[in-house]
Amino acid sequence: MKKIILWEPTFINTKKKELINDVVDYLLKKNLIYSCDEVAKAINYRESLNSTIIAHNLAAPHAKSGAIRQTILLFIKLKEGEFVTDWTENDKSIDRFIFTLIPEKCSLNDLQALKNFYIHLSKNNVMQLFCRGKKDEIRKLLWDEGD
Amino acid sequence: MITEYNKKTLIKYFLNHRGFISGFELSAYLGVSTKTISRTIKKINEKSMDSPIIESKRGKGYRLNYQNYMSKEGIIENNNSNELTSVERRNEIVKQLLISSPQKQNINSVFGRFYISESLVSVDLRILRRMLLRYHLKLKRSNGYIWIEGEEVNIRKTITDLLVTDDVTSVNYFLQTNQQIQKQDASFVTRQINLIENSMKTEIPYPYNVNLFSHIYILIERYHNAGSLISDDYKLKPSEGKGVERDPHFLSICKKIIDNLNIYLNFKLPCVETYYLYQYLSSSRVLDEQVDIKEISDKLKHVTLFLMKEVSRNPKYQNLKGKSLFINLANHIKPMLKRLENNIKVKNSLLEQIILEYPELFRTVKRATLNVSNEFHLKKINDEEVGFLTVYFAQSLENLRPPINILIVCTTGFGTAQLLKAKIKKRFSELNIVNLVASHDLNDVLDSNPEVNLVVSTINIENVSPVPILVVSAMFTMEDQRLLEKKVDSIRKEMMI
Repeated sequence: MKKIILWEPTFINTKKKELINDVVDYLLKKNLIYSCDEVAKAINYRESLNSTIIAHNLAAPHAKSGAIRQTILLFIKLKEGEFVTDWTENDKSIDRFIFTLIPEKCSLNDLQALKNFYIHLSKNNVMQLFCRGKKDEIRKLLWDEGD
Repeated sequence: MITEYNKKTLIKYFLNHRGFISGFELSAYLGVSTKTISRTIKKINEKSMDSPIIESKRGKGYRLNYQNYMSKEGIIENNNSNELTSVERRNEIVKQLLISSPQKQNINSVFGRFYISESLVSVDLRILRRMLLRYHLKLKRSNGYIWIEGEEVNIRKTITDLLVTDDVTSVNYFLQTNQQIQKQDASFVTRQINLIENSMKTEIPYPYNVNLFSHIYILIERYHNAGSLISDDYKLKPSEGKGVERDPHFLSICKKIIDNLNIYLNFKLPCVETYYLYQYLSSSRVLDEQVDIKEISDKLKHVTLFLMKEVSRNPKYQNLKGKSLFINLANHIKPMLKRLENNIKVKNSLLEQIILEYPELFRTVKRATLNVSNEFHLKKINDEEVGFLTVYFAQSLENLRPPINILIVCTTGFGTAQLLKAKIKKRFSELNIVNLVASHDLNDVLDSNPEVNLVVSTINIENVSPVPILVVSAMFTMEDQRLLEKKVDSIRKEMMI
């Protein structure tokens, strides 16, 4: 499983659709997906079904697609003062994201690791760290504790 | 004890959890008894009598009324109740007098440290006199001195009741630094209990360990403070020695402990102490000691079966039967019969919570125990024991309740579904999560799992099966939890019909 932190990246757009496009562009450049369109479509489809917001400033967009090469856990924190203002109608201050992208055939090890990660995330203190934590704290959560 | 720390921690816990929380959960979180929880909640609510900050509901527990809390927040935060209440003051005084009885104490030195008026001293003495009478003890006052007179057995019983409050749920309680007991003596007693457990190759569980601890601890304090004054009539009566020879292993353990006490106290304890220790030990239930159904005595068998029959007379509980219930009850009743015989009481710190959770069952068991006492000519079985017995029936009742099976759905069967699973598991422990599924697999999974009662989904899906679907957000907000609680209630009602 590929774990990535994008800390205050220089994304030009902070609209939901454009942010998703920026993310898939980045993943394509890193050779982690086959097709930007396919992956963006899968993420947007999930978003159309119901909100993926899991805390006041944190969303967890996710998708499963044949266009994903390997399991990806991607954490993004926008620059100070930057927010995606249209993630949903009611939530206008999302500045952190946990993207979970799963290939059509996902290994059991990855599924187990994701399961552990989400169980860990369900603890209040862990969720708070993802909402407010510094880069080192997020790194520790993703690499050390979530496994 | 109600402390500011307890109050604040409790409020904080409520703020982080929604819906009803059982007293058991709160008691485990704070590390105090359920009675203390209920007293703390009462204290919190005193600040807002007309609109309670914490609401309680029978069978469900407690929950924070957020609106009322917000309007009274300042009052709660600034509250300070560290002063000793009159009940606590009187407890302090009576403990001091009991431990040193029959020694006389100067009334000014006893009451002086509390800085209270003469009239309040008189009120305290009147209340204490009345309280001690219940234990067949007398509070005497003469020439500026006060003291307590009465039989040693009654003095110790009174001290036990004062020492072992409902807060005590383990021996470790006595070893905490904020407890007003002699640390050196407490640690000696703990070593003796370990020795007993090692000799018996088993563990003595709550409440029997607490009972044993208080018995030995009070014995030490009595001989430390008034050893030479303990009356000569504190001797073994002819009727009391009977039955001691029934278990030579128990007897040898008791002798060993009394030998250790003789050395520790530098005093030769009377033989009656071995007998009383034996009574406590034989009236305790030890963890590995299970009743062998083939070797069970006729009396134990008849008492247990009679109790089960009496409880099942209530149509609601007519299905409470079976071998495992019988064995659980017999395991409790066996030492309970000895306790009744020896006048030994056990504390049940969960009593209030048991009554709150299972009011009708408790009443039914209580009525049944009255009939048991009449039928078998036993002493009255007190509420603490009834509480323990109720738990075994309740356990059996819970096993009869079918679980509610749920499926959790999202697009992938991972992601938010996994997060939701962890949250539901934490807050709705009674739900059985059958599986996590991707939305496109839902119909197939429902076909192969006909036991599923409810689908909880983080996405909107078309409902093509008769199984209800509840859509919640990935955040699993308070509102989502309320909806799930409501849905589960209605499914359970349908199942009962």
